[in-house]
Amino acid sequence: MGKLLEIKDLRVQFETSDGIVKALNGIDISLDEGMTLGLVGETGAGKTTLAKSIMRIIPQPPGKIMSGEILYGGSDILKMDINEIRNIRGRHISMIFQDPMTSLNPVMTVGDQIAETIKTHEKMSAVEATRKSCEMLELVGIKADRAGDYPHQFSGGMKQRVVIAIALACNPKILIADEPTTALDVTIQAQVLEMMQNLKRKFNTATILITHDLGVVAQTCEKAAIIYAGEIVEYGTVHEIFKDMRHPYTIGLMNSIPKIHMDEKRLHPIEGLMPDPMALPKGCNFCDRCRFAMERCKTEEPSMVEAGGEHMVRCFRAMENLRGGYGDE
Amino acid sequence: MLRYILKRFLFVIPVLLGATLLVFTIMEFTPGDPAKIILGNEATEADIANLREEMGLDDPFVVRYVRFVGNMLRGDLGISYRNNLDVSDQIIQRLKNTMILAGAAVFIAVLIGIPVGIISAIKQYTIFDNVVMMVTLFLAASPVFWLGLMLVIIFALKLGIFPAAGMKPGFPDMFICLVLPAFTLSSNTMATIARTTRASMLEVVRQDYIDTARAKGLKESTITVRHMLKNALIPIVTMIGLSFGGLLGGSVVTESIFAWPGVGRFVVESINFKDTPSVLASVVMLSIFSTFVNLFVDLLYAFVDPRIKSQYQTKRR
Amino acid sequence: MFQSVRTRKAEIETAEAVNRDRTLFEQAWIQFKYNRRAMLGLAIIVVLLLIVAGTILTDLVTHEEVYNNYVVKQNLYMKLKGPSLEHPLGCDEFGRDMLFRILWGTKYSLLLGFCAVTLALLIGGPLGMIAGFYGGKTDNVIMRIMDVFMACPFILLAMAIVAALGASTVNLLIALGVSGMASFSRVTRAAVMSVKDKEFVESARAVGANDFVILIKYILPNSMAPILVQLTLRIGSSILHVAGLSYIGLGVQPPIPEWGAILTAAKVYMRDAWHISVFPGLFLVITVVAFNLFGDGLRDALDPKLKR
Repeated sequence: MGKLLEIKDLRVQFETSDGIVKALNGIDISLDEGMTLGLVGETGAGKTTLAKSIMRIIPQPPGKIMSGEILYGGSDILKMDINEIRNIRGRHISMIFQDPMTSLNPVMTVGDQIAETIKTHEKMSAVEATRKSCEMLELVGIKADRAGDYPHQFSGGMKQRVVIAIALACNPKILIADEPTTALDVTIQAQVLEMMQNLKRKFNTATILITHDLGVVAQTCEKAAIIYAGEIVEYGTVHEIFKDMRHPYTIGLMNSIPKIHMDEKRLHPIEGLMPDPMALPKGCNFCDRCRFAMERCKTEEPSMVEAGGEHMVRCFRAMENLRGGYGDE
Repeated sequence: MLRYILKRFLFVIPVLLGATLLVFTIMEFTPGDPAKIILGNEATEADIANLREEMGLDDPFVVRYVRFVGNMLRGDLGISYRNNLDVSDQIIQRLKNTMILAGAAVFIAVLIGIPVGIISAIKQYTIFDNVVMMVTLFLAASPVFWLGLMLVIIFALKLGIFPAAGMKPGFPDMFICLVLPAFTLSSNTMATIARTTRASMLEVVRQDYIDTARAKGLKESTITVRHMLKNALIPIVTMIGLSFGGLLGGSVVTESIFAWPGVGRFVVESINFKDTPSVLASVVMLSIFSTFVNLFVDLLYAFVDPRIKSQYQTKRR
Repeated sequence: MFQSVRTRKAEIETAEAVNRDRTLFEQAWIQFKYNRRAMLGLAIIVVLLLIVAGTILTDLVTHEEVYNNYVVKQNLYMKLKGPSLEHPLGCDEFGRDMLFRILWGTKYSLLLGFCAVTLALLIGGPLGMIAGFYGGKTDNVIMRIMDVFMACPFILLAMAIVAALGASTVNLLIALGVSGMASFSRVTRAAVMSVKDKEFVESARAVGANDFVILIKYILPNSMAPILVQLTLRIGSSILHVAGLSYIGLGVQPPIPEWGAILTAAKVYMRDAWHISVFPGLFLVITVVAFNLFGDGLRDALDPKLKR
């Protein structure tokens, strides 16, 4: 099974008038064909920046890709000219955005918005493209006769279905879903996720699922990467991560979820806030919030440590059983 | 949709009646006796009294107003006090000229303002953008009558490219005569349109659906036109509609400067002569004209914004 | 429309200001201070006001000697003389120094422009307030009347009124006030309607305040911001209207050196003396730009709805 997408040492920053925001600080990650990778992290961790970097739709300026490679099928997306990257977008790699309310053009019919992608990438007549877009609508569970309607005539969940139809219209190899269900009602969330799962299986699309919901990752992903302050702090199969989490941040995330079978009086949130991306600490980015931090963490940056299998952890104390340390609280 | 248009037209009628009543009342207070104006200084008291009787000027205010409205409904706008000619005949030709001037001004304003605004937005903070912002700031603040003078001094008197005033019929002549007045009249609107377009494009650029469009692999030019401009047009159309009233006001001054034989100049002359029928007719015509334009702008909304279109449709149901 | 340029520092200060329990206007000033364009506009306005004060003071001290000898006294030897060291902006058709005339004209343009909008507000504001507060039939009647006023092109209406009353400075103000009232009544109505159902109005009613008290003490102060913004934004165009009507001959009468009135003569002599038309117009444009910048800054600072 070959690597479909490989990201190496990706560093992205935003140069604003107030200072340099270091959004991504050396991301290494890869995606196999047909695989689903969950990307978990809190708001501002750099998840969306990573997704947009892969699509090369980071606004430049202020965004700036400092270093790194994004290899797709052996060629570097970051080095492609605008025509090559346009050919990749929508056809090979598609993206679903966070808020379906705003990610559809309000003055175009949904049918046209789907057909637009098809017409851009496939040699098809307008009639064929329209027919295909109707098929796509049916596929995501919307009646084809609504193709002539405008986005404002749809509900949030329906809009997200349309967005998914657009993303899958050209049968892409990779689908990047940036918090596809965050803006939806809980009941709709499950429906949309399930539909995405089915379509993914049907088309064998590799998926990067960005979320802050560990539960969603457990349900839908094979691999997971925990991202914190522009760095991946823990990576592995879902099984490895959930059964044997080693990074204090992952442990903290897990503890902040209420567990139904345990009679807990309070939740255990991670104290404090993510460091200001304009002024990252010298050592480990998490050390200010970490209850296991040592002197070394404040001065030295930890690197990824292998923890068996594919499991990688960015922590000096990765080999200790830190999870147990939380239990006695 | 059709019903909506019809409703709008019905709504126009009371407003027009009110407008005529307003102007009728104002003219009532204007000093000077129309009979005296028509007959000149040598007229005897008896002659004047006769004419007043004949014109029905001694009737009470309400009677005269109702008579005026009745005549107007039959398409009879009265006889000018100035030259005893039928007012409607005089006005139709002048209204046509004003429409040509205003239309040309809007055309220029849109043709220059929108592209300039788009480029300015795409190239935000470049020299081009800064220059455009400066120039439009000053253009928007320039009085039409002064700008007209400046254009005449530069292009007619110093360079001699265009005529300083007047209007000749026929294709090339008319066109050449139209250039300076049309540019003068369009200046404020052009500046406002350029600024609105820029602001509105900058607003749209940050929208998520532009990212969606990019992620589809569309060409940048397609994104600009199909996704950005189409959305940015909504506030631009509002702006054009709003500035039309000012444009008609500006046409009064522009026509005076360039001796353009339109309604604006006609109404200035008529006010000075206390030619009540002409003033009333002009106001009615201009009000109808601007009402039509407003209606057109409203329909244009439905064209650029499907959300408004479906509002009309629900009204119909 | 005009984006405010605010720095990070301004944002921080603004945030602090909110915390520090300042009045709306103190907060607005902090925002305003960091808006460079608005401050430029304010600076120009201050200079113009200094000119106004200076000319008024000079007239008081010299018992209008300067005014009589330099501003209105004709000197046909200097007729239409171009700019020179002695007369930097040249002389007009009666040989009067243009610089003096323009400086002395400042107070007329500024004052009349300001008075015209204020008058429009004073007529239209209360009508809009009543319409917005009572709603229903009252609202309908008042607003339909305002529609009638809106249907007539602004300048035409003002011209007709001046023609009816006779051309003079006072009549000019009345004409501009009446023609401009409709749009102010709309703004006021909208502002009043947006606050009249707020809880503090309900509570005032609950303790038995009558309509007048509610309107003046509760609704008016809370709907002031958009009205004030509208007022400043209009001053610029109001100055232009005054100048425009004076230019047509329906406003300020000669020999008063109002800028628009100066331009009336300029048209006749534009073949021989370009300087008469250029300079008063430039002063007009700069003044209007200044007021527009100031008004935009004030809107950005005061009207939270229009803020990004």
